[in-house]
Amino acid sequence: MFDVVIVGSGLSGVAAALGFIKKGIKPCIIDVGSKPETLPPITENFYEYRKTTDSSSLMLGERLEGLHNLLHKDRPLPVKLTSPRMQFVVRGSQSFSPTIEENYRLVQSFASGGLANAWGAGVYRYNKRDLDGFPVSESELSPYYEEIKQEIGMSGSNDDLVKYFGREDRLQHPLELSANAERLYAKYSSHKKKLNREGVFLGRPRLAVLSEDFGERKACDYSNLEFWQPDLSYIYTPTLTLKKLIKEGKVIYKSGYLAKSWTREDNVLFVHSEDIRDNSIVQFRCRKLVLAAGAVNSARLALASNRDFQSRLNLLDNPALQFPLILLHRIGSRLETRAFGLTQLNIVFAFEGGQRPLQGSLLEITSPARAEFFQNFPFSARDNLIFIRNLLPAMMVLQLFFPSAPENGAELKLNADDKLELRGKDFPFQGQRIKSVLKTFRKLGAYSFPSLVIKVPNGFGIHYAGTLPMVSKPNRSYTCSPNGELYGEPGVFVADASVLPVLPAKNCSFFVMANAMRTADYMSSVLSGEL
Amino acid sequence: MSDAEKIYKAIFKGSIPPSIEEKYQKVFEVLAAGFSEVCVEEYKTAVEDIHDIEALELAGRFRKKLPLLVHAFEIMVYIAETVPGNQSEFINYKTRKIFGFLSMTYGGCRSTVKFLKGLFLLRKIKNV
Repeated sequence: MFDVVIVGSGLSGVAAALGFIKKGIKPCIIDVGSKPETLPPITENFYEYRKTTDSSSLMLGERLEGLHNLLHKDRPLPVKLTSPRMQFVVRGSQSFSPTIEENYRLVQSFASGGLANAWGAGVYRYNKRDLDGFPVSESELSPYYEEIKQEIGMSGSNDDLVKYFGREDRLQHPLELSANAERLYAKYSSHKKKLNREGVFLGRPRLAVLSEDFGERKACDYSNLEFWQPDLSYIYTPTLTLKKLIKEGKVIYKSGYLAKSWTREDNVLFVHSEDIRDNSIVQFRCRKLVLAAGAVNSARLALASNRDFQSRLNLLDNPALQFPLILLHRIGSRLETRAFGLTQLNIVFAFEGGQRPLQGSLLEITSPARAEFFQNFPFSARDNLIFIRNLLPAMMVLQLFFPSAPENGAELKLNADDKLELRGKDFPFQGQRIKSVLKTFRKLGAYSFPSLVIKVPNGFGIHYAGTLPMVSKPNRSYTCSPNGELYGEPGVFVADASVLPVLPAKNCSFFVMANAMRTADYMSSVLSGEL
Repeated sequence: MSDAEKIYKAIFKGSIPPSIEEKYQKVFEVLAAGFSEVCVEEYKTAVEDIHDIEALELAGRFRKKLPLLVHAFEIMVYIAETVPGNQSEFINYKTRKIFGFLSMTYGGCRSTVKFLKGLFLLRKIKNV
């Protein structure tokens, strides 16, 4: 029998594992654990590689996986996950967790390391305002943020966004900016006072991406491979920690098992899991169980364990808009082939009226295939290529996230046939907000039009949360206590983003890791009292 | 001239490298399987009978007609991008701002003409 079983090896699973290990407990992690194919890594810059090598294997894949969104229009994926080497992240998800989706597009992962294999690596502390309604304070989480930071490595700067992101010590210097981002930042600096008065703040992102070597991990080489190659050592993923812990013998990692439900006899929990190799059912016995399978699959486990086919749980995700932005003076420039292909800058819009702020990521678009943009231009095929060559180097994308609360979130329900039913609601994006964002960017020398703004489909924010919310005094099923223990389920704790009752616009990953470690800390003290 | 050759020529002017043609045929089979017989027939007629399929694709894209032809163009672009010899079709390796502006202006005007021509050509395809 294990002291602790953790279901899932994503950000929350490994953070919880670290928490237990610190207290001398060796946890067992159960995971389906899909892995990337073993292919020789690309060791040079994406664009240098393409100049000399037929890149069809890298970009299209041997089984044409790279054309997923063209060949399977009924089940599109976010662009990064269509890349052949990244598709392991979502491989088999429909068979492991079948869904019926209405006005919602769910992205699930059963890979070792979970969805964080393809994350944007944004790491932000939740401040007092972000934790409004959450029964745990900033100061309670603070020591765990520090420990997580030491594990993952973090770059960034204490700039104008300190007010929203909090002050971080021991940050690596921020990553080099692309020419587009540098221009925007310079413009912001010269209009700063006025913009700040309007509630607009721009700054460098806090990223779990290395700008300097960190232990055995190398610093970012600006190779533009972020969309194409998993396990880039400069981007933290939970697999880095997991591999280390397995090698050091600090965790027992059971891959190939899909946790289906749990039952209890006396004080022993039985985790019923399917061995995906032969579909047999295996039971893992433990004293305590940690749900870290992500907001959707932790909820599935809770519903399945109760054989509850009636309850509808809230599912939160950040509604998002994408703004293509054009920097006019950069039209006709050479493409910046040496760049970091993810978030370059963060922007916060703190509108008046006491509403939660909006947070945006300004992304370089140097990493995706150029063909990805082909249909976005309204010209003939040959002329679209002219625009791809001359306009794309002058473009960035703003991904603007909105907070989410149960009233505008989706609903999740388990059906008796084992299918999860998801129903999304349309978020009321206000036209006035969009105009005001565009106006801000015009001041920064970046142009766009309301008609070009794209609404990200419901569920494609991929910041799932809120299914098993944490409340100060739980009194109903599917809520958990401030220690993470699920109501009516002694010994079962929730460590992932399910615990968030509301979701701020700020990415929740760093919070989730810190909170998972805090939960593990509490559980360890309970276990040491019991043992 | 094969479908692949004709589409490639419409987008990139030059003759199609054999590796691209082979991949296109492979992808097209999978793609076409997801479309109705009518769509496949329209595609065949378009590629066989119409000389300026670049104009036809543009009009089809805007008018939401000839979906298989529109997809075929998109797929050809994806495949062509993977070939080292085509990199300069997608990437500016040098900054040429004035040339860039002029090219885009020319492209915009050329596309307007192509669109009008495409609308006319659409009428030639049965069932559309």
